[in-house]
Amino acid sequence: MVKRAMIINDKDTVAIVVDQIDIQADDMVIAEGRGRSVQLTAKQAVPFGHKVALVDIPAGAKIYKYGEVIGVASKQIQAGEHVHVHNIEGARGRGDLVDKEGLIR
Amino acid sequence: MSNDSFEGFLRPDGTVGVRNYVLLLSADFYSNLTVSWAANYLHGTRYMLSPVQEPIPGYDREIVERFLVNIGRHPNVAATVVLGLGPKTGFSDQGLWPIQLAEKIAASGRPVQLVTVEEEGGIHQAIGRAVEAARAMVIEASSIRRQRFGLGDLTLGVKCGISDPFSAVAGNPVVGYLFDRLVDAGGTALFDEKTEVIGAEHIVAQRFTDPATVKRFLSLVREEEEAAKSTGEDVRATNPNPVNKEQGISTLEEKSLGAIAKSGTRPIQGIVAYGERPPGKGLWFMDGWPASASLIPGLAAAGAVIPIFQMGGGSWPSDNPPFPQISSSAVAPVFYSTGNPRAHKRLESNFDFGCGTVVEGKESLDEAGERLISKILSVASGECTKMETLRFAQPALMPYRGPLL
Repeated sequence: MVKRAMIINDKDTVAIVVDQIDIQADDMVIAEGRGRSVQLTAKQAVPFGHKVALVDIPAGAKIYKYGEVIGVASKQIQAGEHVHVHNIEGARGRGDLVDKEGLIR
Repeated sequence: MSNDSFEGFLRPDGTVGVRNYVLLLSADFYSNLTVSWAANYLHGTRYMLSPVQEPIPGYDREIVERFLVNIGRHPNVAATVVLGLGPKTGFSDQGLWPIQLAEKIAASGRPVQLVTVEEEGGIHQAIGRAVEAARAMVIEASSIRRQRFGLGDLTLGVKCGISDPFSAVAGNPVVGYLFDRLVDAGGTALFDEKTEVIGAEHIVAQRFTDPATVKRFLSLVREEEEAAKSTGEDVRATNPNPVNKEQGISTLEEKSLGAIAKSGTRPIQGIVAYGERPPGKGLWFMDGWPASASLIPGLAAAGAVIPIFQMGGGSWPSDNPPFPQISSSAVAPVFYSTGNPRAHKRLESNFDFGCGTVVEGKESLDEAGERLISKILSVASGECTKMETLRFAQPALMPYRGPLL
């Protein structure tokens, strides 16, 4: 089945899933917006509203949504994969990375 | 568009209200029972409970004083009965004595009456006196007629919550469209939530009209991030919260970038303190913490005649849940909107407005924005919001710095 996803900005490396991707894999995903159209094969189930990767994203690379950085890939992400807390880290408010002297570990 | 008008109430201090309530205001924690009992006997009234009992430092007492006075002289309030333990009980230095609160509210030109347990000789006598005073005020207020005003005579505020990814692409930008039109019409708009600008502060900062405020704003955000870091946790332990994450928001930066869309695109005139009335027209940022039980009443205190709670709402475990803020602003009807098409369908009995149509491709952001403006103007003219039909009061949470002493 063909499922829709929404691209918000030209720079984005993820899109918002508008039709829930229920099956384990192989759903065809058409991501569209801002004059871009990207065709993907879903790698796994992605719930309504969650993010799907538009391109391959190497570990440590910045992830873009709204044309802005929303975090960093904590592992290699393939196009069509679900992007969420399991493979993206926030860079801000990271008290867990601060040692007692207030320095980043 | 010049035909954007509503029927509202002109107050003696020049503010424009959309409701015509007589308010029973509790000046201290002890009077919350007196106030809620008296209000039960009265048609045409609203009541605000006192948020303060614990000994708190001067800068925190100042927040409480500003909050209570500004609620007491809210544009939606025609007249106020202030209830207290005694005329001069509690802290005096910041003007928190019941008699001082009453005098400051009366300076707005509204009829105000102070009723205290001490002077009346007991709680039952005080209830009787308050009922008697408020009944006369309700009759007097009922003869005030609505007059025609333009969109630019409104003061609105927005807080977003229970956010999901559709808040960012539909719900918040549609409110942003309303804010742009309101500001262009000469009105006043307030937005907030300094935790939820972290990661998006570089975009918001560009919109302040003077460089000193840019610096102050960035330092507020930096302090907020330092406070978050001082917990030793990844901020994601609390924000985005479990509900945001369940719906697909992965990081605080992502949440913030969606949250700021609710402010629209116009220049930001400055920063106001929690519950402070902006000193001029246009768009303002209100300092405060994101809890809805704090911000919704805080927006009302700052003069918002309709506080908008812009919700994601995809995560509710039931089709008819109790919404987070029902009447905590008391004097201003809370207006619930959502950009999530599924949430709107499930919870239509609680939402006043939905623009999931934008996500479904059935409506543009501008079309949904125009529809929101019509709805807000209708509510301003008297149409009830869903929460306004419920009679229930919650005390507001104050954004204390502490410590509690």
